[in-house]
Amino acid sequence: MADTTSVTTSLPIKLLRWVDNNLEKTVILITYSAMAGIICVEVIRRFAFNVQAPWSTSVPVLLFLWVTWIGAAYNVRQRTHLSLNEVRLRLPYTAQFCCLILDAVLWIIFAAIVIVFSTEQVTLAYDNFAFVDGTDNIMQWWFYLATPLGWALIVYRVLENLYEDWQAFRRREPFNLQPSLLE
Amino acid sequence: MVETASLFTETQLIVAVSLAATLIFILGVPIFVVIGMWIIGISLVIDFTLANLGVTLFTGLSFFGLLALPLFILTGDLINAAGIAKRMSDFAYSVLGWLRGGLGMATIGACGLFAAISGSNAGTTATIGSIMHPEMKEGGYDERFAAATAAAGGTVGIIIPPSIIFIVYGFLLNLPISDLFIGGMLPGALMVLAMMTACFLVSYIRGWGHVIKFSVVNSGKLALKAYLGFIAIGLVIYGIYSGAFSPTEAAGMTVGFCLVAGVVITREISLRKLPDVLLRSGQITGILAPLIAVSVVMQQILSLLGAGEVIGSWLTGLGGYYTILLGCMGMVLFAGMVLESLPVTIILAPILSPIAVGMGVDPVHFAVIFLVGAAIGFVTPPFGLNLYVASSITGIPYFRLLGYTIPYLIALLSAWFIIAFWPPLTMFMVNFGGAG
Repeated sequence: MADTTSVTTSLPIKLLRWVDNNLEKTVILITYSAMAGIICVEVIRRFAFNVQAPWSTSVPVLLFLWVTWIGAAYNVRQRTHLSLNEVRLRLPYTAQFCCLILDAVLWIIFAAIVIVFSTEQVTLAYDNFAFVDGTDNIMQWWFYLATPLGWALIVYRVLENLYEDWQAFRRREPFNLQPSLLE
Repeated sequence: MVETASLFTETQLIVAVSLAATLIFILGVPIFVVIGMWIIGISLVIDFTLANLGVTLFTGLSFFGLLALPLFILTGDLINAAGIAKRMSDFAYSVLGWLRGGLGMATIGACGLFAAISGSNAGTTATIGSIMHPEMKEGGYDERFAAATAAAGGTVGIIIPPSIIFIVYGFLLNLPISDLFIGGMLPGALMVLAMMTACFLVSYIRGWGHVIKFSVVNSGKLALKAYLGFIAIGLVIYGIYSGAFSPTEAAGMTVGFCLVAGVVITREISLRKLPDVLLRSGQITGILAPLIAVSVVMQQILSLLGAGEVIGSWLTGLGGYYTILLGCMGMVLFAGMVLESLPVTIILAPILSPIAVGMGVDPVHFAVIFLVGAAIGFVTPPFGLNLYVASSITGIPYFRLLGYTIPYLIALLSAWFIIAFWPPLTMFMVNFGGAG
């Protein structure tokens, strides 16, 4: 009985962990492949057969929004957004922790503002019933949603990083201040 | 009187916000957030609604032409994963290895070849540096010089076409991207030549590097092995020169070719490996594209503040043609030292280009001058992106690389002056057959 309970409780947790580890990766892979695939196939069709889908220049542009903002969230989690870290690396340990808190606070302020104003744009596209150029059934707001959702994910990843930093601070472990893009 | 006083207060507040942004930048807050905070701070001071931020985060990225950026990042990752970059590096070494410092020169040459397929400086440094740094270290070079060589070589990543920053520049100033690409060809080649000369001189003086015998047969064989790389270069050049494709379409074609080459011909890209390649490119795009979006908003604010007029009147007060051009170059170099090249381009190009063009500089020529200056910023402290990448792939601390970049900086600055003050170098190819 106890085993059954542990199996049933661990499954959702496993699922959540998978989502936590792979959400951005999955969205980036799908949207990046679709964007590159559409452009590549359509240029070959235009060059070889003189035909081209009318949406082939509008849908990739909107998919790029997903790659951009979900990619931004992924880089927050990986701590790979460009920064000048030479001074921070030489600061005392507690000051480094304060800098990490400062990062988190600034990210959240920035994100809150972007979420509010980008949601306005999504709502506008939704209310206007705006279609993607070259289509008559694909809604623009599906793609515009990338910005507020991406930024909401940024907030989640910032909080996740802050929790990790707090745990490291309690254990007096070194912070991850020099992550590599190449890992 | 009251108006003057309030204006003075507003100026003070703008300075305070800018100083606060500089402080958090120095403290290591990501550049993207620093620019975002500056925008928010300034919007509290002047009449700039933050709703513009919401709009520009969509519209600033909604150009079909901008899609060449993620695609040319992907081509770089694909030719690396397909093993084509390694073959091109081997070919470059076989051609230059008989000279003192040949391996270092081959590293720079390989950067030039890689840059002709990919459009990213950091990607060029990372890819060629990962391949050539261990070989240079084993080949009798100082490891710090080897890392500096990869960092400096990567600067041509954005000058030799295709280039992601030329794409952004073209969109900002409404210039034909094909002409910008073509304009970058000879200046990029000159930069490669200048850095090779610096590498040769340093290696000759220090006695670094082993010399190998030159063999036409061996070089020919390695050139044949690298044929896929040359086809990809040919595809890009044909696309942009003939006008048959737009830069984005040329990028799409090159992605398709590199993918087929890697999966079917070299078979070094397995279907399992492909997601990692895409994810890496997605990650780089997730760093650069948001920077473009916020930099566009920052440019809007600077325009509202009349920064163009202030800088314009200061520059024109300096004197004649050469002084103004030197003033523009100084500003680009300084900005490139402290910021990444995308914000530098988006913020400064719309201000400086009209001034230079007004003085009689061709807009394509000025674009090349501007971007070579921004590229030099990749190897100058305090924020030298290529030096960070080289440090990251070699494990050598950033500050230990700085001294070893000096010969390359001298070479790049010399090339920059030739490019700036000898317009035919840039304009010859454009006039010869530019697509624009």
